Amino acid sequence: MRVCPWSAVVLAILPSLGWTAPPEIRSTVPAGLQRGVETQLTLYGPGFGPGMELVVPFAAAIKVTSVSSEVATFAVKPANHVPVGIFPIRVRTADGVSNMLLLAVHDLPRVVEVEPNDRPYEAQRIAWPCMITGALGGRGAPHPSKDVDTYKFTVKAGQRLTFVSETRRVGLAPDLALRLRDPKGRELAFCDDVPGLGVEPRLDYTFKEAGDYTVEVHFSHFSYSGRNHNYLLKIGAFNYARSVFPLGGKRGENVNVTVTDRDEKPSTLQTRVTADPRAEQWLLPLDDFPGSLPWRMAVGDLPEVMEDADRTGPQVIEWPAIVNGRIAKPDEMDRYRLRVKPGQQIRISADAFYHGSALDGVLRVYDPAGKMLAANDNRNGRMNPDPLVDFIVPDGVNEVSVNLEDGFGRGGADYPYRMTIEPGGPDFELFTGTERPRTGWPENDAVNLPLGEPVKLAVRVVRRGYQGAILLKALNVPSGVTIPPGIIPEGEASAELTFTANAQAPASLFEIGLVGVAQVDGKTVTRQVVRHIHIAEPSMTNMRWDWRLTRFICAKVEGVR
Amino acid sequence: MKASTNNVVRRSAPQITTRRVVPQSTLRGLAGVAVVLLAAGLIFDQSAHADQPTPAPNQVSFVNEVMAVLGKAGCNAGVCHGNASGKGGLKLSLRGYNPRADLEAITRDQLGRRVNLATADASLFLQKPAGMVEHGGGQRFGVDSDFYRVIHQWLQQGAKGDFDRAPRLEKIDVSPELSILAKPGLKQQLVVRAHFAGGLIRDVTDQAIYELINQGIVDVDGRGLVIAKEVGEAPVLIRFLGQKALSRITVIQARPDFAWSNPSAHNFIDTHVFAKLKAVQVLPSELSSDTEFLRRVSFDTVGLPPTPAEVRAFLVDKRPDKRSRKIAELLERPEFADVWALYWLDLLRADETPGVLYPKGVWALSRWLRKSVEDNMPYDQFVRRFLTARGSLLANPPAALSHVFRQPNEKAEAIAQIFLGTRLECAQCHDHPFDRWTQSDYNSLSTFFYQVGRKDGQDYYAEGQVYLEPEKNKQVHLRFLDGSAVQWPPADRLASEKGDGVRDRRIALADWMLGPAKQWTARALVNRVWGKLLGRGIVEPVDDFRFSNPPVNEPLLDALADDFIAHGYDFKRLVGTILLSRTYQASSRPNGTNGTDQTYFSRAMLRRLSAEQLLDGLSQATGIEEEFRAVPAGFRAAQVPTNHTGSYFLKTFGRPPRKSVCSCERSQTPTLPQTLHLMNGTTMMKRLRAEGGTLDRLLKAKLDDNRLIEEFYLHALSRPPQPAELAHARGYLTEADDRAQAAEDLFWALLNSRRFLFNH
Repeated sequence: MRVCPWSAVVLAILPSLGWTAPPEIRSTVPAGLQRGVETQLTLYGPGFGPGMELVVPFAAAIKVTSVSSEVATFAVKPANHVPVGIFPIRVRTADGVSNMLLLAVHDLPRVVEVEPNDRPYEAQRIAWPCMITGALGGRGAPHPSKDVDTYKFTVKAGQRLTFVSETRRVGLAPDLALRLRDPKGRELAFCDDVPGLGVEPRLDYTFKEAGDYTVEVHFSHFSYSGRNHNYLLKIGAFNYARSVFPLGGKRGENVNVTVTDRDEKPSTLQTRVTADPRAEQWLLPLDDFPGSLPWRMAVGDLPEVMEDADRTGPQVIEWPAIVNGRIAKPDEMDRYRLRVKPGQQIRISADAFYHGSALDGVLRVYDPAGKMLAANDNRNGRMNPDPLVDFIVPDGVNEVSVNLEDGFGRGGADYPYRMTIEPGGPDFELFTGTERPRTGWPENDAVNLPLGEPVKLAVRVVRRGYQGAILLKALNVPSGVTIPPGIIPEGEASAELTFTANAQAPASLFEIGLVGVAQVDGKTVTRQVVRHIHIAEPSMTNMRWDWRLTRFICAKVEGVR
Repeated sequence: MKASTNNVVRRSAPQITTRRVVPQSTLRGLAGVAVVLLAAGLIFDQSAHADQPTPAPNQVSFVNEVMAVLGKAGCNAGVCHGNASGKGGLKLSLRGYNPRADLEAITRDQLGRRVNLATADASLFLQKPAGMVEHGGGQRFGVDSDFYRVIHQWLQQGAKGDFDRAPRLEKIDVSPELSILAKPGLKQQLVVRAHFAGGLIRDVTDQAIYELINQGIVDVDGRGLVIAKEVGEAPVLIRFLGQKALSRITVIQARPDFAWSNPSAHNFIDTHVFAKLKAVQVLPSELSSDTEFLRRVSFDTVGLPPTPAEVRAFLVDKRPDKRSRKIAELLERPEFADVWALYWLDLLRADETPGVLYPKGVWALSRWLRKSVEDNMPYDQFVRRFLTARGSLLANPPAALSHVFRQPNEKAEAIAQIFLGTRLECAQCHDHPFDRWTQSDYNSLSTFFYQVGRKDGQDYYAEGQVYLEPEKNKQVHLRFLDGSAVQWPPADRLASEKGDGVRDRRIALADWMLGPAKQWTARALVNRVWGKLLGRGIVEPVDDFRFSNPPVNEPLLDALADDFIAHGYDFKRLVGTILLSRTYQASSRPNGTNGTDQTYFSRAMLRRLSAEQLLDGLSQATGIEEEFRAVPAGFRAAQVPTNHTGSYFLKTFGRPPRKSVCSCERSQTPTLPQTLHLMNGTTMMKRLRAEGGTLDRLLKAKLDDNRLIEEFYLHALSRPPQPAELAHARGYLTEADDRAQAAEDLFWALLNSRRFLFNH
């Protein structure tokens, strides 16, 4: 049985109690459920057992169908009002709560793939709209790298369909490609990756003539990585959102979001940004755009400024602020001017990628004489292609120009950004968990607390010029649980927090937050402790399926086997 | 600028002369005469300007005389002291491209031990080449030779350089530039003149160096006397002091009773081909038969033989234009795009190795190439896309060029070879020995790519994105290969408020390649296509356009390029035009005049099928598909885009590993493993005997012998058997104890025959 890393720490502390590791979910079949419809959801993983419960964050009727040590099946019927989206699920046994996996909830009839369906004459007939749950390879199928799943469907003349994969976004491994063929087998359209969707493909096609057509699903380049080859493919006459603008708003405030649809037609949604003080992002529901999942939006605490698209010359910005803009045309460069003082430390970042923008921004800062003071393309290589500059205003400079463009000269409705202009200077970031997990299966981010036994959680700091001490504190700690504050000493890289639960601790799962507080240049700076996890397998890319958790699920573990 | 005969657009076409010029005389005497006559203002209608440098009377010129001796005697050749590390401790510049360094080496290196200014005869610099002391290079000249006298006098005069005084050599020319020798054994004397600044012209016939480009056609001695040996084209490269000239000798077998057969020309291609054939007195072969044509054009367009049904339908088709209809049909088949996508993947070195393109990058590039061929993207757009590509390799696959060729000079070499058909790499280290390119030209072309950077992409399995480094956006002086130049970016782009892309230097290069140099770009492409379809380029190798490697039919090449440009760089139309020509459709069977012709396209050349054509042809003939690594079932060899196919067959039959852009990387050389593998390797044997394969199916159909044999021939050779073949095969089947085994033997024999293996 595989033991996830931090559980090894627990085992090391509690040998005498004989507490076994918490359960682990490695995959689920299917990866998506239709709301209002009961579906048999099978989970695979070690550590299952009698009394196991499925923990989902949405209303659902759940019944256990069968449970063994490594396979469990539940009949799950999400309530009709559950919003369409992707949700984290876990299981819980007497040994604790498991890692998180993702599950999609949609409102489409489910079609289960049936092999063999590789050649055109074997194509599986389907009716749309639907959500296909399939797998490349597997029983009755060729090797995953060679498998081509083919589906046949009928359209009338002039009908327009959207074919979109929701695979990587649900934490599944396959990097898919889609291909449409006409009744004669000629290729009509092909899609591998869509900017803003990571490596997910999306095809949008209008069929001129009525007839039977086929759509093929296969690995993008006929080679694969990872252990699970399941996928979700949504097909229907859906509109979808190509981009939204702005990409976020100020915490707790209303914002009008312009959604650009597949035909570049704009529409406006009035909505409210989350007021949750610890949220780093929020989801914008896109109910009128069934081809899209809720949009991942940013939340900020600075004044929001909109780009003046009609300006001539650079736009003057009062900062600190967050500028919402868009590179609207190819080769366009957005220019801003800031009034500054010599010696000021300024940080400017342009966020786009992780909010679904196609922009690969390049930031440059110039003094009035045209001398470049700072420039950046990728702040963190493959991990984050958005730019960030940190610079000190030189002597004699009272104004700087900030230029932002797409690194490859592109532009259009799909290229919005949020540029944060704020004081720079020494800072720090706090993490827990493994930065880049090396194990084969998803790490368990939950904190399982056997009664009376201390559990240690390491918190690491990435120092950006600040070398002082950092006080670590837990928030929203319920009664029955103690987490004394900790300190990361000056110059050190980590410290441990100790969690202890007694019998009064809540029986249900609870969430806590962790923060670090420091005095930086005379100001109190508070930063959240974040956990970076890969929902899918580490061999996948580091793209948006790389989640940041700012809340930590905890569970009291009473049953000791 | 007028394009020259040798594809270098910066020089005007040379005058063709056929008369002898100045009789030969000794080197010193002629120079002395010239000096005297110049002073008298006689001969040569240019006047010597008072401010032009002139040598002192009787002063031996290091630059123009000593260096000439070093070249003529072979001292500064690559195999001797011109070697990268020199020889025997003496390093000279290759072919004398750096006289200053050479003077330093001769007179100063090793404490000046090579020269004895007090006693010139005792100088090693003289004694060694004269064979007076041991010399690894042997005796290069005698003590009573002009060479010896020149060196001796120079040493006596102090062994000085005259870089500021010596007349500058501007060019050399040769007479005749073009000549046709009517039969082997005939002779032609070449005369070489050197033109110096100030109007001085010297006969340097004896001092020039003569090199043969095609060995075996002619011989040429050190005094420029050419003797014809075999029929063929024999360019003679002449060098003198870093300048080059070319004399194009054609040796024919004159036929007094030659009568042109007056075949009808299908299009302008035939007009130009016939003109050349008439000049060399060779008759074109007859037209190919219907089955020969069908098989050839099928392989050449879609990479597959025609099916038996297609053969039968074509044979019964009585329409006079059935060949042109078939060509039009084949050009629209999806397999046509597969063939040319694979061609470009090989050329662009689409390597799936991690760190280069990764498999995902190769697939992305393959799809893009395929679509561009399918959509018949105009070639000028195609070129511009590759030259100026930015961004993600996956979203913009032409950016692959910058991932495969990372350094600016690598890009320059690749662009030159792929799109201009010009091999520049020799000029990286020194002036090109066989062409006009200098190191300066090489570096100038590289500067177009200095702005281009690479960085990691977000998708781990498709490395990289191409961008422009903004620090390199300054205005610079850019020089093109034809010598023209531009200040880039222009003022309006420099001041533009738009992003980096408008200042991209590669735009200037693309504008030049598709503007002033469009003829050059077009010639390179049409030559590639011609070479692929006819088996030999008009310039051969197809990517070696070189001053010393002229086209065998320049008017044909020019006409193809002009037509290509005039019709909007329409690629499919270009291919169709070539296929429609009588030249392409000629038989491979020789007549009495063209049995040895491998140059003038008088008949179709026998070409072994490529690795992919062979394997796909085998698969189709036997009805059994091949399985490849990491592609679904049903993929043909021509469709597999990656270079690591895992196929022993493809590797054995020469599929290129994509480590070079050279057209020569795809090997057509026959090897023993190829023969053995075809005879009894798994590729053949599993197909012959497979259940459901062609043989199995035909045997189960219980056909009579005649019908069975016909099916075998149609599947394997794309034609019915001839009566004698039918009789022979029938006899074999009838006499066999095991008919099924005999049938397998017969089918095997056909698939191993040259008629199957070759495109004919």
